[in-house]
Amino acid sequence: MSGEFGATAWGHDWLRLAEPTSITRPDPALPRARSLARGDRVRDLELTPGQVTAVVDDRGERRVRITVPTWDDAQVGRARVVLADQPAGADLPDTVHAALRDAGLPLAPDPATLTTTCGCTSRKDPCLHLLATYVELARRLDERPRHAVVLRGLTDSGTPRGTARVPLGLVDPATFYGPSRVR
Amino acid sequence: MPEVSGQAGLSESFTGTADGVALPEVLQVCFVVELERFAWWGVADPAGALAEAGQPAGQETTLPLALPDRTERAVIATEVPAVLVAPEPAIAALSTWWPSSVAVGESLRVWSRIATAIRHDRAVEDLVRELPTAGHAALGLDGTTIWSARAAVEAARRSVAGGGAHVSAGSLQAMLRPYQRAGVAWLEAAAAHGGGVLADQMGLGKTVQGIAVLAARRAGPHLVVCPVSLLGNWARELARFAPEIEVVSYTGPDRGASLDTAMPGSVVLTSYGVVRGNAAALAETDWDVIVLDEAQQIKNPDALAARAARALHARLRVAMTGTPVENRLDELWSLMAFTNPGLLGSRARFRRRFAVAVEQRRSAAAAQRLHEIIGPHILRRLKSDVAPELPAKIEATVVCAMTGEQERLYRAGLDDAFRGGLGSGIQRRGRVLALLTRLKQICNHPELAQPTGVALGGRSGKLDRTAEMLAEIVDSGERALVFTQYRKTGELLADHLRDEVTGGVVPFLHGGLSASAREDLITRFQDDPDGPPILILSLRAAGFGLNLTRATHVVHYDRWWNPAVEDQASDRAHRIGQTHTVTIHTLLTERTLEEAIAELHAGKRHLAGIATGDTGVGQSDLTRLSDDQLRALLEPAVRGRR
Repeated sequence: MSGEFGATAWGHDWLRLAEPTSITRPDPALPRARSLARGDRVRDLELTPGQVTAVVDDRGERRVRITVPTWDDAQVGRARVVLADQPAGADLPDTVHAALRDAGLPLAPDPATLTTTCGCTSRKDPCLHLLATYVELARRLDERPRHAVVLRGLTDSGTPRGTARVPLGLVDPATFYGPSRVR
Repeated sequence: MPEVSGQAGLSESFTGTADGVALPEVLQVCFVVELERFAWWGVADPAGALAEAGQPAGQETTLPLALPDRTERAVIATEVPAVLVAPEPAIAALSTWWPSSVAVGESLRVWSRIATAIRHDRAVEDLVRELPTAGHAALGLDGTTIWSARAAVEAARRSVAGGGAHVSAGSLQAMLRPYQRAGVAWLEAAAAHGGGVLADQMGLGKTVQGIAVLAARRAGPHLVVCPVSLLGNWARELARFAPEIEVVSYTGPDRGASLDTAMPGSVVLTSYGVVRGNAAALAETDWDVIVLDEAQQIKNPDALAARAARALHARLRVAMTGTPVENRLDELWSLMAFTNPGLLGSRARFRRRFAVAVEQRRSAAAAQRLHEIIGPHILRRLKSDVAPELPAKIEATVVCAMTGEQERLYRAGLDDAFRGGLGSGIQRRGRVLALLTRLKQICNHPELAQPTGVALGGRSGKLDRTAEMLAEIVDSGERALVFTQYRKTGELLADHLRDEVTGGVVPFLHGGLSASAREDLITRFQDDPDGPPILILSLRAAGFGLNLTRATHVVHYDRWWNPAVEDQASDRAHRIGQTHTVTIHTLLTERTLEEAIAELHAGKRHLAGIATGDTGVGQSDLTRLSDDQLRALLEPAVRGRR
């Protein structure tokens, strides 16, 4: 593991989709996928419960969409119990990752339950842009492990709330003028 | 009746800002926290819309604001036309707002209800939740964040009389500038997240913001940690801005007892060295607020002081530094592990998560994502952003303490000189001048008076403080002039600053250089983008006509007898062509002749038979004093007597 992507257990889950250990010969498109992620050419990545969307700049804009199953109410409840003791912050230790797994809460994406689409015409599955998005997602989850549980339905667990100052990147444009888009 | 933008929304013509972000086309209101002004915006001609609605006029301006971009998928920084109105008339107007022909946004409707609540001193809690982003979208002075709805409403409430939290005239709060009051409120709110890093640029008043926080929280006890060179400064500033606070000095050999007397509400003042050596004792106290000043002292996470600081307990943890911290991951981690433990996770893991993208590849996208994590917990404002509020020239006196070595030499120098008396006539004049010179050299550095070959650091209060200040200035990408009246002092400064601050040659412009060599030094400092950040100058050699406006800081390392000469030197940087605020730092060693001279100049001290005119007190005036008078002037005063 190079460590550049998937340095934490949270990110590594997604890196494994791009580099499955069961396959002996790595995907020949992988170096190019890494290079796209490394060059910040996977952009506008949005992560919401059950879904990830992103735009990959590769001879045009390639719109990628990935959906994953969310946890049911009972699972969300168990996850809250596991996370209860964690201090507010961006990071979650890998031990929490293990504790969630032990509590029967799957975090790693399962190719069998994943649905993916990409705007490109490639017949290859996964296509280059999907691979690049997996790699980028690995990095994003390294940076903010809490987003891994947001993806599974724990919406209030992402960004710490209630700070007196809010970075522009965290301001929601949809509710900027009010709840109903009225201006 | 002019055509106003109330109708603009109906027309096909697009009303946009310079960078093509669309205005909402209806009138909005937000509170500009660091300016303490309401801003009316949202349409191309807000002044016209206000006039049509019969509202009070204000100051037309271009307001930095956060606004959704054209795709409405992201919020970006932009500028919009706006009208600024002072809090009182704005609250009055908002609270009596009546639907008119002008279309208004949700932000204005909610602010109208908030204004009514503020006027009647009612709770605003529920209204805070209803205020849309447009109502607090003014870009913070840091340029990367906006203030939350809660922070904006609280600031608005503070800014008007009868708001329930108004600051009483003459109080410390009232003395602060609006951006400082915002900083204090931010630090207090930061307790909910552990604390924060106040990283305002040097000269913006971090210390006074810190003191305001300590004064506002009477619970105590509080702990202030700073470099030894700043202990005196903190004691003075605390006495000046918050005289009601009891200050306990936890330094020196008999410090053990003083910690036991750290009562609620008091401030314990100590140095990083003491924290290193007394980590366990200090960790036993439940502090209310801990302030680490010059917190770059704990930038090495493995250093003993950094470990000791992390082990302290407090309800609010504040780190203050003028050095930018965001792009050096280890330093960033070390500071934030103190202020916001847990935010960044363990250090090795933090490096793994961010080092490659941020440090090695310098990815702007990754740096921005890191900023989204740390940005709410670091407040850094630059003088250039606050500039409209700042005068063109700021003068700061930097008081430094003598080291033990300095005090021994200083007292011995006095004893030697007065033992046999100073004589009379020409002989007396010579002896007095020699004594004054020796004492001033000791203040500059003991090595100048009694060479030992020992390393220079830690032996002179002024030199240590100068190195700290210049490191901060250089780290911020600014340039500084350092003036001294002694050639030997200049050479010593050049050596020390090269070793401790710049790592490269620090040029020294003095009378012994050829005209072409001087010209070359000046050109490289003034015009070369890669030129040296620090230029040392001999006070006498740096005559008229030099243009050194590249410098935004001037340091007077030693005092001259005539303040006019110092002003002339300062004007090398503060002159026509200077577009930035220039900060003049005048160093002086407390309890020495340097302090006595400063007091004479400031009119705080008088000597019989000596008139202090525009030219200050001359050396020749001092030769006319009797031995006893002179000794009383030069003798180290008992600390705190003056």
